[in-house]
Amino acid sequence: MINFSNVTMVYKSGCEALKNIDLEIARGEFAFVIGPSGSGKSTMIRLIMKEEEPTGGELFVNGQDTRDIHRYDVPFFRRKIGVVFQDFKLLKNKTAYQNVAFALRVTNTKSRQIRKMVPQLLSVVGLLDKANDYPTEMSGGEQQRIALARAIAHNPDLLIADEPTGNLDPDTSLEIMNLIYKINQMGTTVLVATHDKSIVDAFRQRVIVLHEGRIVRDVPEGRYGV
Amino acid sequence: MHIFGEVITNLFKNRVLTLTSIFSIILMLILVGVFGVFLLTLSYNSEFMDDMLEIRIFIDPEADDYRVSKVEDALMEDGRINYIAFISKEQAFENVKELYDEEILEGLGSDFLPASFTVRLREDSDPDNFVAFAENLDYVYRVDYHERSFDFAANLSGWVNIVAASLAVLLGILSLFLVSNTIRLTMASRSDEVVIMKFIGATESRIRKPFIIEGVVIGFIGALIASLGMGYAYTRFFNWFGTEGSGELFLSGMRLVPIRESILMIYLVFFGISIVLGILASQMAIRRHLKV
Repeated sequence: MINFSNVTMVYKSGCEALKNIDLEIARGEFAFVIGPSGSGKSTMIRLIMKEEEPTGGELFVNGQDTRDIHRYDVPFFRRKIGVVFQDFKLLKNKTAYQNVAFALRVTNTKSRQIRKMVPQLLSVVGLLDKANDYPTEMSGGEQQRIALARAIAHNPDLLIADEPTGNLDPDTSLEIMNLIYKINQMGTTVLVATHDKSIVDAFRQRVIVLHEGRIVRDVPEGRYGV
Repeated sequence: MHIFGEVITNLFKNRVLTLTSIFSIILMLILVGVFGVFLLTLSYNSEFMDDMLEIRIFIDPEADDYRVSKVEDALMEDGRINYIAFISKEQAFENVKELYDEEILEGLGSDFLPASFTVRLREDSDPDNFVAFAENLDYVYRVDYHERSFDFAANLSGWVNIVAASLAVLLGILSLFLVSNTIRLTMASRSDEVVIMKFIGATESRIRKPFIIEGVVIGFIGALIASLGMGYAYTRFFNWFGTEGSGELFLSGMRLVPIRESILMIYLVFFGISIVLGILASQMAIRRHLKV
């Protein structure tokens, strides 16, 4: 699914964010990427999303060399990748329903199809009853669920979660991670970048540890510190 | 459909800059319109004035009828003439009597006035060349060629052209920047939305669409107001000119382009210019501030 082969990323500022990364994440896998701020987690996500191109090495996502994806094909490439963020990135002037529908509408899904899909997506994340609430009327956990519903709207092959529990209390964090795990069980490859020791330890999945742009540890069924 | 709703909401949110942009477009269009009507009137007049240009050939008053007929024969043989009329001494005297008091003319006979020919040339012939030919005929003592007020207007148009065109271009550039800034404000207020659209896989053109529509809407509103204003003003001017106005202007003898012809043309130009300007302005804003 994701294949880093000797990938190096040096920003124009001279900052060396990733150094000679070799990494393979198989289809259907669930992996945590952990490491302190500035260790290269965000850069890794940016490269996978093709927001940036590696300055060295090769990166294959979903069978495609990211450097070969034409500018005009990038949007279509991204529709196969769902993303959620620490700050949820919901539109505050739109309801839960409208936020999810927005993702479908801007990708030219037919209205009839949208009316059918949005309730389904909301019920997957357990928030069908909050369809008409605005983000400001919802808790952080509920907002992240809406963001997840939006992320899976295009039935992506890959779900990337960038600090998904960073703004949530421990109980809510666990709920969100359970939901992400459920999405993984439905066949979507999942990559979670996090600082959150408790969730990493609770799930016992593959753990990839980054430090100063290098992979220093990569263990299946790992824990945060060990 | 909902895109239009969003665009209108955004325009209203940034209403000061929106209104300034629209105002600047209107100003530019009106300038273009006045200047355009002026040019249109000139070209319209030059068409019909060409056939109206008359050459008057005065015969020496001393010449007798035989010599007058000799001049006539010479003129008739020339292929360039389209129309020729003879005005005898007596007719000339009658014409003068209509213009002046009888008292002034008392005691004067028709003899002091010259007989003359009025000639119109075929379209393709060169009047200056013909004038030179007529002046060389025996017993012709003067040839008048009236270029009328048209010449004055045509000369005037030279520098009016330059001033009006440069003003219009300046205003056009100003409008471009104002519209572009209005759209930039919208972009700033919608940067979250743009980020979200990018990661959910909206195409570049889909992300740009609302901003381009915004530019077009601003242009359209400007063109609409300017067209209504210009249409009203020209109709008023046309009616005034038709009654008392023409006599008061130095351009007596000029004709105005019929309302229907000129206004339609102006509307087309107005909408064309402002919509293109709106699109250019949004492209400018997008290129500088929206990295997709």
